[in-house]
Amino acid sequence: MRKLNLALLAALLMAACCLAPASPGKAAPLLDDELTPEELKRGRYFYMIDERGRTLLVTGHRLREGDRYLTSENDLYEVVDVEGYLARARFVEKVRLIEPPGLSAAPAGLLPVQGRERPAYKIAIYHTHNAESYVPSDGTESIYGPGGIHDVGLAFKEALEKKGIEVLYSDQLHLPHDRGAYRRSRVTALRLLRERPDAIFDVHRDAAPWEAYALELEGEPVTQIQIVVGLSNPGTATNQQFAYDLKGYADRLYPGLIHGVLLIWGSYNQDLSPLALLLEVGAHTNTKESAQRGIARFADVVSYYFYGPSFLRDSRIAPPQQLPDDAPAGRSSYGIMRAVSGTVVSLLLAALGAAMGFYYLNNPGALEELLHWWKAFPERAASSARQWRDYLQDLPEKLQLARRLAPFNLRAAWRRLRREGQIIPRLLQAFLSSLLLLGSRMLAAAVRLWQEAPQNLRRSCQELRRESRILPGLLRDDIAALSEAAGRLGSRAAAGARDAAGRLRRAWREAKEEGETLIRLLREALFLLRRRLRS
Amino acid sequence: MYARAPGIMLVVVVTAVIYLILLHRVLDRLRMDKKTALILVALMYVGGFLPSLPLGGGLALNVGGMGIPLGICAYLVIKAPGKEEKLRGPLTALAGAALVWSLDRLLPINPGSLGYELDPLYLPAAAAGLIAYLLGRSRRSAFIGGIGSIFLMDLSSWAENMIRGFRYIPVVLGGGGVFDAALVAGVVGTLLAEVIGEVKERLSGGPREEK
Repeated sequence: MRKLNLALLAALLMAACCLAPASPGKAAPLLDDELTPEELKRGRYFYMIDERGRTLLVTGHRLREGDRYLTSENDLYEVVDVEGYLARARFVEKVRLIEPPGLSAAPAGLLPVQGRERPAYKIAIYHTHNAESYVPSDGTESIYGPGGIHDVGLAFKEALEKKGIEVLYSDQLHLPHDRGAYRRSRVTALRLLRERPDAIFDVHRDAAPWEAYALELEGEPVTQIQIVVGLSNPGTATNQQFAYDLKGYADRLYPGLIHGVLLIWGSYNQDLSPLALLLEVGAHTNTKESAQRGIARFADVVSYYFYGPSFLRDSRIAPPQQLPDDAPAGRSSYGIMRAVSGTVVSLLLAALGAAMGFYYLNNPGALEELLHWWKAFPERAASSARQWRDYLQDLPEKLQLARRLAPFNLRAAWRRLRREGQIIPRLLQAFLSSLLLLGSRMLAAAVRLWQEAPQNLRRSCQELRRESRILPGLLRDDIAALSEAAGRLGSRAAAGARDAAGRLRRAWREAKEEGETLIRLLREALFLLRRRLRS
Repeated sequence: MYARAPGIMLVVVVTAVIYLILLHRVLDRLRMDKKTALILVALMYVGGFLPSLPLGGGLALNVGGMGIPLGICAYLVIKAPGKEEKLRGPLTALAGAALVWSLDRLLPINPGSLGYELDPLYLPAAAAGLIAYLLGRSRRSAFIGGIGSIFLMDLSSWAENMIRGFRYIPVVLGGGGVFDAALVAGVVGTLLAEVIGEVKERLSGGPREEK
């Protein structure tokens, strides 16, 4: 098994290394992509068509089943089938977008922070794909470094700054121009978000024929703007609602400016903020100047959406006359708040589900217990229901009884309360007197201790000094007595030893004499015995 | 201003808290006690807001996003039992970086172009989790692999820019702090290795010896 795993890993790495281009900067991806120069030259784009074969969208984004697209007429379509460059979509619904308030409305009517001083208005802009450029103006569709898209971002910045809005613009490069650019631009997005902008936009350009994005507004050629929302974020619903809101405002201010809202697979760093969006400002076949004019008008939409209609008056572009002056103040935040609540609930449910799943995965016994509990649940529920039913059946009778008994109970309770109330002062008095007595005693003891402390301390010091003075003498006496006793003990021991030795010697001598006498007597006895035996 | 609207704040806070809890749980699963894991999460969160340390040539290091995670990786490598297990983490990082680098060049530039393929943010995590599992089921290797592969990828992009003559492009290693792709890769990779391993164990009838 282990060998199989290692073999799998080796095969995976070898396949990746073999398929990867040898020269990363120059080689084109081996798979179809909207940015392949050959495809662009051949005019191969991705098309979305509806049930009747009408073209809804031409884009460089590869479409897949499940992708959704909100057209400029606010018709929502969903891709049901993809065949090569062609995606077939079915109509889902007509979306009703938010309506902006009139020009006479107070700015930022429903904005959450309203103080006496004007709060800081901030919008953040950055570019993940710095290389994106416009062929008619820049001569190429891609420049390794800051491409033409940076000029479009700067035009967006200048248009917002003219209105007094602070713009957090980042021209940070996220090169090389590959798939990892979104990972690298995450750092930029997070850095900008630390400044707490109201919204953050990642500005791109699409890959499509020029007519797909071309528009004439007030006699000027501009490019349309496509809003892209990633569907693989936890808070997609909020980002989507934000995009819909902006389109609703744009449709009233500059009809046709927003090409549509494309809801496709991916994150696009929109997980970092519910108010993060990706903008495709025109295509590589449009001129950069028309894209700059398009994004300048989009700045009107953004400022109006966030900060109210008064910001339109500072604009170079006059506000459209069709906006009613008596429109209701402020804008409805119902849509985005509904999306927010949905996002929060789904996030919490997902986290709870994941935690529970993981817990039961690690504790199979707990799952069995849960299943057992679930099996027994109907019986328990029926039992509880019976108990409740009985309780509810008895409830009227109990209530009636309680109502009848209430006066008696109240009187009894009142009497008991009064009786107990009479005791309370006495209890309090006794408690307080005990407390006072104890306190006074403790205080007196403390005072006495405090008063006697210096005297006791002095006495202790004197005793210590005195004892320290006599201590050497006492030690000397003890040592002398000890040595004298030792001497005495030694002399006694020596005398005892001598005495013992004399006694031992004496005893030995006497024993020897006694032994000799005994031997002589035995010899005599033997001699007498032998003589008697002979006789 | 608008970003401080209660609803929007709630979404951001709930997302961040869930992520931080996941990070804490992952550190806890890496044989660290709960208190140490909590302190490390707090340090990484705070460290992410500190100014990045310049390393020269436009390269900088964020303490919370890369400094502390790399320290944790070094600690995990040192504490790993056996020579084989010590090698497994760095090997996962190298293999993961090679795989992701290749796929970054190989796959279309926009996520979703091939259908349901992984987002660039989660690709290193999946690579680390998968490789760590194939090399021998190891949460430790998955964590080291996720962070190490992003570290190596950032270094490679910095080196490529330098070689191409773009010496002014700053690259901040772990510049996103605690929410940087490096830690996301470490967390998701570890959870992936854990979930795959646990599910496989349950399906095969019970736990085996844990790595």
